[in-house]
Amino acid sequence: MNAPLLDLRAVGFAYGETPVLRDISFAVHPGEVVALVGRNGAGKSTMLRLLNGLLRPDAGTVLIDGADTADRKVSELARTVGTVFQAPEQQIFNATVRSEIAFGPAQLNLGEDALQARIAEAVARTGLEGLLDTHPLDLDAATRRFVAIASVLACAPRLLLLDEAQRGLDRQRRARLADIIAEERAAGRAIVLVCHDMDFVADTADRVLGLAGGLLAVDATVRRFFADEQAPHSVSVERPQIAVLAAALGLPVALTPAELVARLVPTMEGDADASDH
Amino acid sequence: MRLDTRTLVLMAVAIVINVVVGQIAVWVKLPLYVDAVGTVLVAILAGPIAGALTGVLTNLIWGLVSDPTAAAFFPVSMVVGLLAGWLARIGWFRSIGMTVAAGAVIGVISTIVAIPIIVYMFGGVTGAGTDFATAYLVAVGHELVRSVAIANLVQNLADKILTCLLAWLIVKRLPLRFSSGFAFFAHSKV
Amino acid sequence: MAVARPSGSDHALLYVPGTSWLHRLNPMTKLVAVLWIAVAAFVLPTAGTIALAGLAAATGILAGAGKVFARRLAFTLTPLTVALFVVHGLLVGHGNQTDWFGLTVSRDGIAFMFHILGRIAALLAGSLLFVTTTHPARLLKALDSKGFPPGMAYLIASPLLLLDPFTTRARAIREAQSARGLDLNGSLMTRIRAFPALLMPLITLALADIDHRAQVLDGRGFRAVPRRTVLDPPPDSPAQLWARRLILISIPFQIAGGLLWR
Repeated sequence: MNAPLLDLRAVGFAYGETPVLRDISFAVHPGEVVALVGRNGAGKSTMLRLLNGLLRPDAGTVLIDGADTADRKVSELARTVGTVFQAPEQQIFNATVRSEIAFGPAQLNLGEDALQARIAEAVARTGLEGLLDTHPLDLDAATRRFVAIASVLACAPRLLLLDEAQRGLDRQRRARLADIIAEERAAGRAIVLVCHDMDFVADTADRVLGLAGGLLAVDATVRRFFADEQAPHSVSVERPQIAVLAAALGLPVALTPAELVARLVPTMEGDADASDH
Repeated sequence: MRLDTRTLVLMAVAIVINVVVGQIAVWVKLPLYVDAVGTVLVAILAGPIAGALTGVLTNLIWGLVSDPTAAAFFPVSMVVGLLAGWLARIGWFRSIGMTVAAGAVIGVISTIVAIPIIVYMFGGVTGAGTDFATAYLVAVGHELVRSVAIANLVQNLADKILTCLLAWLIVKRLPLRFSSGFAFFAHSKV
Repeated sequence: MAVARPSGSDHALLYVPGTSWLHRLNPMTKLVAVLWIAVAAFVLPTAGTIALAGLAAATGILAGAGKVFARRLAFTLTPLTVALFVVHGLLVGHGNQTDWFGLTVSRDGIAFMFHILGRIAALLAGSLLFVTTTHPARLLKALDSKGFPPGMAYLIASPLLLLDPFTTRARAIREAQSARGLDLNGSLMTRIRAFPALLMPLITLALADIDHRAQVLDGRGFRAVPRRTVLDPPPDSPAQLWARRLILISIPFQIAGGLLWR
């Protein structure tokens, strides 16, 4: 079993006097996609900041690749952890998409060829060809998000943090984002996504971590999470329609329409057989 | 001279930028103030009067928010805005080399304007790092006004050159749909 | 600006909420009073300026702004005192030299030091009296009700309101860039190169907003007419009006008196 890339042990954090997170422990391994869910204000953004080093825990330890974040600078951790923030405008400062994507890898001291290769790959994966010389702020919000994603991908971080990266994306772009996540997983990277969209979670994640009342209320596989009626409710999220439908029909949990159909067909055939007699 | 609404909003934003940039300079522990970026920016986009007004109001706001005596330096900010605007009009902000030259000119002249204020109002000291240089120069025998001039000139030159470069960089990277709305900016377009 | 500045990130106003008589005075009256104090600070001899500064500080303490006065006066005057002592007390060849703990100190230089300090203390205390008891919104209303052009009023009000959101945004940008590998603690060159990465997003974001803001303002009839009607102008009284006139008239006499004294 490979060592966890991310390991939280009894982590607690408070803003001044107000505790936000208490006694949080979990581990994420390479190749895992974990969704972080919970209602607004549950501490998901705080958690992300603990994972990329912008915040240091008041209690417990956050270990990234075996090393305590408390001992490392944020800019050092950035080699291992890549974050796509909710408001990419806060990161964008270059005049072209190309230079914006190049910024992150340029901090890594790669050779010129390696740098160009990284950029080309990131551009291809995010579908930004043809926009390389455009000013990022002249682009629409969704495309800007992909510029931010590309700039993080180009750094090839082993742990990828996405803060509501799917929000406001049209169907095509959502699919592309889901593909990118799948690619990263296949490449052995770990992904933590903060997400309110349970359909997207069902589509892309392996595991769900649910925050409620400052505690880690849920740590389960996606399937188990959505099969359970209580679990989503306890962290104030709705099950995806498909799961609700499967449950209403008395079938085992389904996360996609195809799965639901696959579950239905044997039952229907069974009835058909029965009615033939 | 009536400034249009867009220019007024630009000036208001530039004033805030002047104040906040000083804060950012502290974060990166830069030994310079760089508190005239907004002033020069407005001067390049909207001309010398708008630039000068931005500078003066920055001092006023600074006095309301932080240190009322620093507001005494408003003539310096006014001169920075005027000079930047005049130099922009004759095309000095078109290339990086000329921008450095503009920064040097502004640095020298703004120091000249600042010296009487420093000497007369503050007795030749500023309460900041340049006082070490001033004290040293006086100690080795230079008379006070000259010491103040030299000590502040070096810091001010570096400061204003960096300021002009930053303003130039910003203006170069502005999206077209924005900068094309400011007629005066045509003087600085390549 | 060449004077030392605090490195605190607190951009809150120097205004201290309260209900003292100072708070209730019309801002225009206070402005005129500050002007009188400013002139006096240049005209009075050292003993006078120090007394004036003390009086102003005492008034400020009574109005509830003691902490701000103490902090600002200490912060501004301390480095100046040290620098003035060194430059004028020790270095510049003022007369009347005497021995003081092994140092050759010039009494005239020290007198000069106090002369400058007194003046600055009086100026600072006077401005603080105004700034700590007048919220900028009230100042704007007072200016508006006296016919101040709305464009200028906007240029004072808007920056004050934008300061906090911009500082917050600057911090968010610093975090986002650090998380991308930007090193803020390197050599001087590293730090200088980091500077645009922190500055540019702030400025481009700020500038991107401008068109929208301008449209909103125009849509609300901004500067459609030269004067604005104020719904709740700060109260004024005939007494204050006359006080202001008297103070303004006395200023030329102050200056003349000061010049004659010399």
